[in-house]
Amino acid sequence: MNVEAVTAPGEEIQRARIKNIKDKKFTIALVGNPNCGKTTLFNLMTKSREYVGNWPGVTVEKKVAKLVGNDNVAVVDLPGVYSLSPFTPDERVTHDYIENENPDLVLNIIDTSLLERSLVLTHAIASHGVPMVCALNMADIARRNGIEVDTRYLESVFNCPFVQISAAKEVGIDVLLDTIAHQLVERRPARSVLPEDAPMDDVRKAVAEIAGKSAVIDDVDNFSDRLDRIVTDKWLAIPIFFLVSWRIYFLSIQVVGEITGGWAESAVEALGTLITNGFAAMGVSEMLTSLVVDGILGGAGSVIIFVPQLFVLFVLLSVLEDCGYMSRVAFVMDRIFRVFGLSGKSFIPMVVGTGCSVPGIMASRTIENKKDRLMTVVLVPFMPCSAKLPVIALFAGLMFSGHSWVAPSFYIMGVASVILGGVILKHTGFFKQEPAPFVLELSQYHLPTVKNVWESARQRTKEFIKKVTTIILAASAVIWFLQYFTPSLQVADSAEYSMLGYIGKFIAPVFAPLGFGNWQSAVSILTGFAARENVAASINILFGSESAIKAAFTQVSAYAFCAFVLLSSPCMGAVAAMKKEIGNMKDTLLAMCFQTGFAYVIALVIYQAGRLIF
Amino acid sequence: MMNYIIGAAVMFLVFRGIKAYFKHDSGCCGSCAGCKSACSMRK
Repeated sequence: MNVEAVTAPGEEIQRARIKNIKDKKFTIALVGNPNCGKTTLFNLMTKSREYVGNWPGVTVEKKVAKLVGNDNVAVVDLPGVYSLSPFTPDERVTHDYIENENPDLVLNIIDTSLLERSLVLTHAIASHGVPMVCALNMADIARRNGIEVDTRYLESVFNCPFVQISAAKEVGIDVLLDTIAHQLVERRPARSVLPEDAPMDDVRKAVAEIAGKSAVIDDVDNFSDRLDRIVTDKWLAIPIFFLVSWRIYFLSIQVVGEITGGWAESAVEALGTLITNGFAAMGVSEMLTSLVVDGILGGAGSVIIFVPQLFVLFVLLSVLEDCGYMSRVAFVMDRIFRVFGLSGKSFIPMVVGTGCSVPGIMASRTIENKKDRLMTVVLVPFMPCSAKLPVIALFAGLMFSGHSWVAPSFYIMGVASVILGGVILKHTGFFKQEPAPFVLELSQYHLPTVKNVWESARQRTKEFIKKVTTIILAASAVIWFLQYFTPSLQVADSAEYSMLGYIGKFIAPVFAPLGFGNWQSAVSILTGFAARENVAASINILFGSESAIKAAFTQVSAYAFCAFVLLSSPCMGAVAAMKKEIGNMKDTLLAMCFQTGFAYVIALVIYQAGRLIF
Repeated sequence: MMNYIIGAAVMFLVFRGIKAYFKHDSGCCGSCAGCKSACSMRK
């Protein structure tokens, strides 16, 4: 599709180059319904690299960046809203910005396929009388689905320009920027179809009429509809979801692990030997050599080798997110969640939480119902975030070689724990409430763009590497120090008599019923509270060799250990995010106790039942 | 002499990590997705 094909109706608009606007500072606010492509357009306009996902609620806070090529123009990406009446915290951000910050121009992004619903918001913005430009996004998909929009008619109704674009394919962007530049100079206020205080029913009626007049829709049974009939089918949906999850985790954690694990470990070992020999030749002390080789390389080095697995996992998850499948999963999950008194809306933050619990916890802001929102905050950390994956990958490779179900089972366990934990919380007095209705617009499927997938996987991998080379490196050195010296700061004859050894032996009995009552495992769990990647690093430092790990665990106790790491109270960063959302320390501590208690019971059941069976 | 050089390099890396941890813990490391969200919230 060429630019002219989608921009023809707006050609008569006078164009001024936006780069030439230099005499004044301007602010452009990006406003639109959830999942209409605001962040994709924001990234394009500002060359930012904000996270993009094909479901509603990706943006829960405003983001500000300078327009490419013109520092005088600031672009503000606001959370998606359906109206300017605030119900949820993220909707309040958009409402307050439009009401109080007086942007010079509102860029209203509209999903062309969902014109009628989107124009309700267009009307609400127009009633504020601000200069506005409307971008009809995903015009190419709409056209393919038989939707033709008369932009000239819409322009005459709302007194502002309408430009057809495709942000994902970067089509029509130049025309959009020129139109924006023209509007910034002209400052023509938009016009609403009805007075600002008109009843919502009248607004909907008027907007439906405008949408009917402006769009010609051929009723085409498109690919998305056909595919949705299969992936959201009453009986097939869950098996398909489990199959997809199993293939993704199996491929990334186990298949890639088997390919790369060997040479990555050999490379770290070879580096260790090289450093040991080099240091010996240079006369470096034995203690310092041990700190670098056994501490830093043994800890951080043993976590960094999982980068290829995580990168492949991030790529596959990004593909699922970008193509639109994950929003279908939320829709399907709503059916199951509702049976247990939960809302499918809680599933979206959980999808976000598979990268890192912190943005997952923050994504819960899209939930209107306060009790459902708080419950989601408590349950999101049950999902396997990227920091927990090295532990799973370590034990899957070491203890369960050839068992393809192990890594995927922890993803399924995360989802199942959300349901079970939700049921428990719902039946306590505080969270008892009917789940809020879940309305989710299923956007059209589209082929994931290489740029989005690459950017998302690259960002997540970069964050992981940065964390390992800073925080995990420092933690590895601290762990080495505590297991090298006794409490009286003498070199310990054996790690068992080190500071860490004493701490570990003190808390280890608590974990004995779970099958990992050794002090090394107890200490590893403790270090995981600072950052979950520490668990894998600590296991490697404290046991010292693969054979020692294999000797300390059975398959059942290793599985119970991973389950405890997966479900127990998250790292301190996530706890800080929980506190922020919950609002006070007392309830946050209660939430942490619930998570850890839940993890303890699940690991206990796994170990005790597993011991009887195997 | 090498002990001092390598010791200083290790200390630098460790303090860099500790600094990153406290920044991350307060939602300010500026590189991870969580901190980016937390920072934008404060603006």
